Amino acid sequence: MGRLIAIHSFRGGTGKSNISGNVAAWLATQGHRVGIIDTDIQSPGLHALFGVSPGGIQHTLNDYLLGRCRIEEAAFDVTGSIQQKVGAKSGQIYLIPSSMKTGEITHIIQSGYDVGRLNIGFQQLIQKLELDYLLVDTHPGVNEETLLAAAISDVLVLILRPDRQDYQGTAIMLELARKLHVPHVHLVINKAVSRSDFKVLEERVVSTFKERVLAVIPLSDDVAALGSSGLFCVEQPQHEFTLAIQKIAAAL
Amino acid sequence: MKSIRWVFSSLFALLILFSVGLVASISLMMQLREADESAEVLIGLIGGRVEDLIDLEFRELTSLERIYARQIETERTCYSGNVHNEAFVREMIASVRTQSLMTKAMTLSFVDAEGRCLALDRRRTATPVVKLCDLSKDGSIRWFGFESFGHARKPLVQSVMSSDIRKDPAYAEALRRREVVISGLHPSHWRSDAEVVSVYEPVYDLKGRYRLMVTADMDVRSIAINLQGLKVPAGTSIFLFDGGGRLLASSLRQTDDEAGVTDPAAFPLLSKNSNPAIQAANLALQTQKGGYVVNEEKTLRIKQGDQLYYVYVSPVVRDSGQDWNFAIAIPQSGLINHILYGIRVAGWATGALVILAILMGVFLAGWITRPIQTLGRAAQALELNQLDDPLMPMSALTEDSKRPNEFGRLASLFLRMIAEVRARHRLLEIQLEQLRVDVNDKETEAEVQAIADSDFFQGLRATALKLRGVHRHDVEV
Repeated sequence: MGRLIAIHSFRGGTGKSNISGNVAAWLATQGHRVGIIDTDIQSPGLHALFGVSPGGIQHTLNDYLLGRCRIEEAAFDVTGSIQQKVGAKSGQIYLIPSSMKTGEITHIIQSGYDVGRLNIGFQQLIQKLELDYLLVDTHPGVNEETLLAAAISDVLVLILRPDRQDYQGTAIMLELARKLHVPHVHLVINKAVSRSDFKVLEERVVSTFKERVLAVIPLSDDVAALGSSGLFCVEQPQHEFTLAIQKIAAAL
Repeated sequence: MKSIRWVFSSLFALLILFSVGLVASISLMMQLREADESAEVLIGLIGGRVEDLIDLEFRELTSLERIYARQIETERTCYSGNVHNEAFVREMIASVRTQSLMTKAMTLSFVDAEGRCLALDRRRTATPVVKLCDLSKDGSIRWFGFESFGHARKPLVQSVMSSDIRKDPAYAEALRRREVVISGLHPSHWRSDAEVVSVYEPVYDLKGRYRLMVTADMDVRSIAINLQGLKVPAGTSIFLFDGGGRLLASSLRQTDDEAGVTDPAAFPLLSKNSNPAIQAANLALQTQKGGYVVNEEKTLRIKQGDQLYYVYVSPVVRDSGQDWNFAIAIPQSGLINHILYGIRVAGWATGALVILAILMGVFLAGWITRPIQTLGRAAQALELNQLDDPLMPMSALTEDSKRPNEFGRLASLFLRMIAEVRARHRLLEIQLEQLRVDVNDKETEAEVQAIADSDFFQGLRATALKLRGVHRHDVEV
């Protein structure tokens, strides 16, 4: 049975989608069948990491939520985006993108959708595509689909930056996850400065939140330079960012 | 702490003041020490000017006569043997109008073989006049204006020639020697109230036949007028005297005799003059030269009463056959005052320059020290950890960094340093913040409670276990 992994952050700009995409890609390079779903309906961005242009997508998550298609019809095989780099032995990776069209984004926000359908969709994807992992890239903050993703996930990974606002927001999200009895909650600290303090930082975060820290990822100019135009772990497999991704993937 | 701006400016100003003051003091001391030598130099300089002036008068006199003698000699005039010929007179009038040598001190005259005389005279008349006289008749002189000559039936003035010009010894000598002869001082033939020096030159035609005598007179009073125009130290007397001790001309406004009566035509003796400077010069000549014959220039010193006089004596125009000399008598006080006046003027000018130099120095010092002050303020602000305005002079540093010199490089270095400190501060703040893992438990609890109390969450929570317990392969596809 595949594992449902929700990746979430309390605030935007934490690098959540970037980490989600790279973890999914790395898992695929290890021979796993991986699905990654972009539930950030309001500001989708995962597709860019996999080099998928909006014109090349027939169905999206929006279509599924509005009953226009089945969920597996919205799954887009993006294995090719990593295959050139990692070779033929790689697993499979499917992207279920949200619509990038402004009209459709506005429509679904205004009309709403059945959140329960999202849960069914997750389960169907795992079953139909025989996934080992389904990574759910959530919308930042706390809303219904976020809570749903957290509630049904096997693992909830909370991404935070090391600043006061994120610490506070993470504490709230963590407490909600506990109330929802999420089996495993892990933390990833991204965009940290001063490597000499990473150990102390990790210890303090663990001490404060009482949860495992999977990785402390340094603020990297190289990652920023690539931006959302590609999968960094595929481009630079020896980079410290990639090593952190590997560490996260291994923990999942 | 005193600002470098004031310290630097004051040092700069003091240095300038000291330098200029030292130079001025040394200069003053040397001037005073050399005052005696300066007196001789000064009096020698004045003597040279006086000699040049008298020489020039004589050169102009002979030049004037020679110009007209050459013209007639080479027959470049319409002269035909009669100086009263109207065309000739008009020609001479027209020529004299533009003749620069023909000053108010000169009279140009022509005497033909028949004793007819023509004079062109500018002396003591409002307008130049032409004078006609026939010595073969009654010797009367008829005066006509340059403009009215030939139109007026009656002459402007009629006078009588004081003496027959042809009987002047110099006139006769010129005829005898057939060359230029310069006379000594004598009363003017054309007017009785002037003592003149005359130049006579007989003119002959190409065949050697006598044509006429060309004469130029110079009124000796013109020399006095020129001497009076000289700028000399106060109390200075310059005078012209002959070998007989007669005072011919003087820089004093009048030549008075012992009784104080002015008589331009008479030449009083030096020994009779009441002017203290002239008296001192006379005494020096008598006691140190043994009389009025001077063969070379000499500076004498003579004490007259309680005043020391410098007396410069020199022969002059000896090559013109005159036994003339001139003397310059300056009282020592006048000379010293003159030198001191020069020093005072130089002192004022120096003072003004010092003030200007100090002002420029202060300005320059301010300009030079401004970047240092800016760097000082920047360093102080850095010490206080104030990296922004107003304590950190960012705009002044930016401005100074544009200077193409060491100050500019230093200011640029400071700007880079400030930017680096600022970046490090920011990094440190971030580091501190990331290590300050503080969570507000009350706030967390309140927010969590608000969400947990919602119907959606309650429902979600209630079904969470159920959802998790659903076998995924049982979900209806």
